[in-house]
Order: sequence, then C-alpha cells, then structure tokens
Amino acid sequence: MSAAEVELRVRELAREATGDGAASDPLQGGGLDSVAMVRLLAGVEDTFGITLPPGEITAENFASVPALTALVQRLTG
Amino acid sequence: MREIPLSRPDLDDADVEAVVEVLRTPNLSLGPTGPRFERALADYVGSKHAVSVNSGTSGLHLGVVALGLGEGDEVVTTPFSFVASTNCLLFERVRPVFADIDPVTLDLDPGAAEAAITPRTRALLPVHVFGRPCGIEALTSLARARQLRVIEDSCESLGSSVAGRMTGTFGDLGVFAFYPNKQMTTGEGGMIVTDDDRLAGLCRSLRNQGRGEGGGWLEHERLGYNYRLSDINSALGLSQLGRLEAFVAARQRVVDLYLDALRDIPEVIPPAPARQGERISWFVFVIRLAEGFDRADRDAVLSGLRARGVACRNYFVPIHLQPFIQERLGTREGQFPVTEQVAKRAIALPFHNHLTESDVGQVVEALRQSIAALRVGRTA
Repeated sequence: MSAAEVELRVRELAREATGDGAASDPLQGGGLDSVAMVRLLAGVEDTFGITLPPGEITAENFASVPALTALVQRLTG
Repeated sequence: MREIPLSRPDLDDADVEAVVEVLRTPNLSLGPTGPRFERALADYVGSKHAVSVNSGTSGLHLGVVALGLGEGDEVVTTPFSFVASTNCLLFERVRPVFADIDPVTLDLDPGAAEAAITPRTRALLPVHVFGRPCGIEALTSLARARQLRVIEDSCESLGSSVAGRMTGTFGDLGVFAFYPNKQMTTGEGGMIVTDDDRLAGLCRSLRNQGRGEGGGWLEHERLGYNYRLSDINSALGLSQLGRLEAFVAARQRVVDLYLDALRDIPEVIPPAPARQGERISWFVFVIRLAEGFDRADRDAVLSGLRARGVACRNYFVPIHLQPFIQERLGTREGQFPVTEQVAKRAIALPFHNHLTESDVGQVVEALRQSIAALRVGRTA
C-alpha cells in the first residue's frame, strides 16, 4: 500500500471513529475521546494487520492523520 | 488472534463417567446420588445439613420462605451483587433495603447495614462477592444483637473461609451455586447448608413440591416448588467436589499471575488480597480502573479488550439501578455512592482454572493497549 493510500485509509478510520466526517484531519478536531480512541486503535490494527505496542500509543502518534500514517508505515514497513 | 473466554468449567473423564454411571440406572432423580452429594458437601463445609436445589437462586428463595419472611418484612442487603440476591426477596414480597458496601470487601458495610435497620427488619442478606469473604463476623454479631436472621449468600464463595470456618456456615443458612462459571459446577444447581434441623427439613419439603418426609407422592403438606437437583447433576457435583481443593489452588495460581502482570499499570486497581485469617476461593477476577476514570472509559476498555479477543464484562450493574428495581422500589442514582463508584469502573477479566501464563499475558497486553488508548483519548 502506498503512503497516499495509507493516509487515505487512516483518514477514513479517524472520521469513522470520531464521527466527524467533514474535518480534513479529524484527529486535530478534539473529537478523540476515550471511546473514539479505542475504536480508532482497533480499526487501525484490523485494517493494517498490526498490533500497536502500548509504548507507541501516545498523544504524539495520534495527534494528526499524518502522524498516525507515519506510525502505521513504520510498523508495516 | 486467540479468543480467551471469560470462564470455562473444569471437566474431566471422571466427571463424564460419573454422569454416565447415573444414566445407566433408572434413578435419574430422587435416587441415591443426591443424598451422597449433599452429605459430601455438608462435610466439606462443616455444616450439619445440606439440601440440594436446582440453582443458587432457588436456594436463596427457599431460605427466605423457610425463615418465614413475607410481605411487610424488610431485609437489609447489598446493591452490589448478582440480581438474584434481591429477587429472592421480591418473590415473597419482602422489601429489600439496600445498604452501601465496604470499598475493600465490596460487600455490605456492617455500619451501613446497621444504619439501615428499621423496626420492620427481620434479616440480613450479605453476599460474599466474587468469592471474597464479607465482614460476616461483624454482620452475624449485629444480627444477634438486633435479633435478626442471616441468609448468607455464598453462591460465589464455595471454599472461602474466615478463621478456618467456611463461608456459608455463619448464618442461619447459607446458599451455594454451581453454574458452570463457578468454582465447581453441576451444570445448573445449588445447595442450602444449615445446622438447623427444622430449617433443613422445611427446605427439603419446599424443594419437593411441599411433600413431607416419608409422605406419599400426592400428599403435599405445604405450598412447595420443584427445585430438586437431579441425580445426574448431583453425580457431576460429587465428582467435581472431589477436586474442589485443586480448583481453588488453580484459581489462586491464576490470580497470582494476574497480580504480577498488573503491578506496573497504575491505572488499574487489582482486587485486594485476603485479610488475616481469610482464604479466598476466587469466583471471578475483577479489576477496577483508578479513580478519575468514568463509565465511558470503562466501556472503552471493554471494547478494546473484546477487539483483541479477550472476553470481559462489567461486573456488576448495581441492583438499585436495574430498571425494574427502580420502578418497584423507587431507588435512584446517587443513593449508594460506594457501590456506584466501584461498579462504573469494574471489569471482570477472563478467569478459569486453565488460564496459562501466556493467556494472562495476552489479556494484560490488551489491557495495557486499551489503557494507553484511554490516556491519549483523555489528553485529546
């Protein structure tokens, strides 16, 4: 999967998790409460077939769609 | 991803053979195996009598009937329990009066129980929640001082003890349960234990359609129920009882694995250890999220665990907040703050005799991930 495809999929997952279908970067909109975060985490793991180590589940890695995309690429690369 | 179930009965070939042996006889019920199971369980807990019934709920119900409790009477009990401990009172139009729980034992706080006593109170109904002995000595002292009866709901605590005395034997009567998630199982089933000859005889009659001892099949001395436990179930119970001490030890091993693995997760409050002189026969392993987390956080963790193949449950929904109880008794949120604080942050993790270190590792890793997600979600 190319970087652009990963980012597109991450953006969709973030929109599904936060319920914010309009934002270009739903992770920056403040809609990532604990429920949304757990949903997003499960979605990312399922979609990309990875398990995120607890140490990688940080505010920085989930701060924006590009940041989360970079994390996914690092773990799948 | 391995799916880890919340519970699993521990059955072996001897259990199967014991059941099959009964099936090869014409005595599927009211045969010789039921009394053998009763005697063995009475001996195990150290009570004079044991009366088998078809569930713990049936046993609690018969306890209420046998003690003569009825409309206009009140019984002080805990709102933090499986609903049967309250339903058994409602069956007989007895009014449950809830008192808040001790934050450590998670059962009826003796001080709160005393404050809930009114001139209509006839009994206390404490529950040894999750297998941990409640403050039963303080509660039975209180009952004696106020001339109250005690129904000891030990459905979750077979094998637990206080100062060498088994739970279930402190009250006027105690009740055990054998649903498949319990320490030992009969499929479905329960047992009433008591030292009181009259109560035992009454319970035997009540569970058998009100028939008298030695009376005819169509002679009924009182209003009774069909709460009998079959010989098939009793055979399984008898076989399981022979391994109960090994089950208790196996469950303690799993608890120790969990406690070790959870040590460095500050957001998790593990169950408190046994107090001096107590032995806990663990029924379930229930953790709590630390103070500051709320119900939504707990539910998010439940979702996170399930997404990783880990079965889990929110133990318990407080009884006073069950919709039909609120409607019947007029109870409402805010009445029992300790119960509500505990309940909204409690999570039962997978727990059975055969959980391996690797299983516990998978559960705790999933928990770690979910907690990490909570941290991120809370800082967003």
